[in-house]
Amino acid sequence: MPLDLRRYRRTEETPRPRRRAPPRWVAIALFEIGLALRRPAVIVLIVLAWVAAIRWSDWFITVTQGGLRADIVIAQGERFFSRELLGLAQRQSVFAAIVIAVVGAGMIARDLGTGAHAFLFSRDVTPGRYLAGKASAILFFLLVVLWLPCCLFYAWAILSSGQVDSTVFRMFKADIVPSRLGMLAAHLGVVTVVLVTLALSVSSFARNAWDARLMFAALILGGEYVNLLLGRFAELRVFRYVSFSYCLSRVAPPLYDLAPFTTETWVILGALGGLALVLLVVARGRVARATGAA
Amino acid sequence: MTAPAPAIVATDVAKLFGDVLALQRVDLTIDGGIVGLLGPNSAGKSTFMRLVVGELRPSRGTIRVLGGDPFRDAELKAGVGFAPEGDPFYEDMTGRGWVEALLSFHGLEADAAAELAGQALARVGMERLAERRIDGMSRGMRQRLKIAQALAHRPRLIVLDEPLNGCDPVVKASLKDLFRELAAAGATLLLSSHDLAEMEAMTDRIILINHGRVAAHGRIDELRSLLDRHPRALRVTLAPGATAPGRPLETLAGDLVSIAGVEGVTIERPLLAVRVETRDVGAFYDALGAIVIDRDLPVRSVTTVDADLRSVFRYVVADLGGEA
Repeated sequence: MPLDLRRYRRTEETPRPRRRAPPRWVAIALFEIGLALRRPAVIVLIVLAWVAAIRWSDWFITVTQGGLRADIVIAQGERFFSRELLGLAQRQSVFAAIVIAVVGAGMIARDLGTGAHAFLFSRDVTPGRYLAGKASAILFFLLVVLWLPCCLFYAWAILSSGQVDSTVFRMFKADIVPSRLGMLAAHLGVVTVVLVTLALSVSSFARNAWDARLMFAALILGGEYVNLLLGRFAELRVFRYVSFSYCLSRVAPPLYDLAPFTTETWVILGALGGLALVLLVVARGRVARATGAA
Repeated sequence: MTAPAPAIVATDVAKLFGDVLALQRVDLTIDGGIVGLLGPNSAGKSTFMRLVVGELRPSRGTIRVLGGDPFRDAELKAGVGFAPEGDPFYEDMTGRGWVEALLSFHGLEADAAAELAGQALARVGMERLAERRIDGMSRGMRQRLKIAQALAHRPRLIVLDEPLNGCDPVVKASLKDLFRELAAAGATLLLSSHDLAEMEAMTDRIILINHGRVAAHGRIDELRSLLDRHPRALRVTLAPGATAPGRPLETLAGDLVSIAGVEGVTIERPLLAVRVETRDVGAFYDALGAIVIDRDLPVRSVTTVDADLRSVFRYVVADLGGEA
């Protein structure tokens, strides 16, 4: 079909989309998700994350349903469910970090490195929309490998806990309450905010996707290494806080145990929040600078 | 009814990249038809285009596109199509997928994007190649794909940076026809190139840019009048096997150098010609006729050798103290 040249008639108004448009950041997010899902490595990682989650859930559900090791569970008593949920969230966080390193860390670096941003920013795209789209794509993958398994696990545990008069329910009634979902969401929220902002920031600094992935991995693993190395020395223990997992280990248990936050917990949460904000501002600035918007 | 705003109005525009002055004192109004942006590498052509599409913000001055600020008004970009010089595609996508994705960034829904992408790809002769992955495409195909994405959303202003690079002659011809059709339909096309002949064949309105400054702009015939400020070069060629007595080239050169206004004469022996630089072309032709008759010289042709765009460009750039 030939192009309708009448469309080029000179009019005062700028050509507009024919129908009400979805937000531009949604289009960018869908574009990124589609690109990532073309890569076999991403699919494999997602499958692995789900296999790990199902394996963990399967064991737990077998136990709570009076399976072989129910006696051990009973011996552990209250908070068993909390600890299992925390364990699952922590394990899925590792998968989430790997998936984000592969998928998210290179998103901006690839565009800026190759110059593809010239195409994108010649469209109805601003640095803010661009970042929102990229962040949304990363959130999608966190939803798939982190939030969904944990929440389904939680829901499945409630559903399989039997009637209110069942032994299992009575045992875990302190754990199996809707408010527990809020605790889970808070934990996963911290993980999500840190991973998303770190990935965006690292990506905006790197020259290409592989550099960005390596930088992301180096930051995460470097922190863990410092924690491992310096944690032995009392006077250097302050450096353990550069470890993401260590910070989470100080924040998550009080959440799941419904215990009041200590000063340390609040400081860590504040530091992580501040760091996330700084990383986001840095990423926005880098994108704006690269696209000439600075 | 108010008149539509000009496609591009640049007022005292300058752009700095750190300490590097990429563009300075650009005052231009561009509206309708095809306008060629000519200049050597690093002249500032791409910078000007990036300013026009809102990818960059001027360090000084203002630039208005379709009546708005392209940098601040992202929605204005629905009326602007842009193909940058490089071809940084997402290599594992298909051509159609790429164009559709870019259309979706304008807020078009999937079916509308697919329809427009199909039309644009057909327009550049890519309808049968659109399902191919981009990393398997030739340079010419990638170039056409870039042009397809630039015009797919039917913008009023189309900005193409070196659009014919890498295309074979057949594709070039079809793209030139496409550009003319678009211009005839009311679109404004701003095309950059460093190939002067190619640009001259496409448009009669050009902007010469060098060292970040607009050296000249206007119709090609107007720009040619710049030649009057310089000695005009002409070539007098003798017929092969000239049988004039003595040494005809030297004889001719000796006579030509005595003509009023002639500033230089060069014998071009391989061409069997004499090149003359003169400030008075009329007096030269009058005197040449008399010389030819008196000496009985077998002159085959007299041609102007610097009336093309390349010469205009060279002269203008030289006036600005640069190198063409």
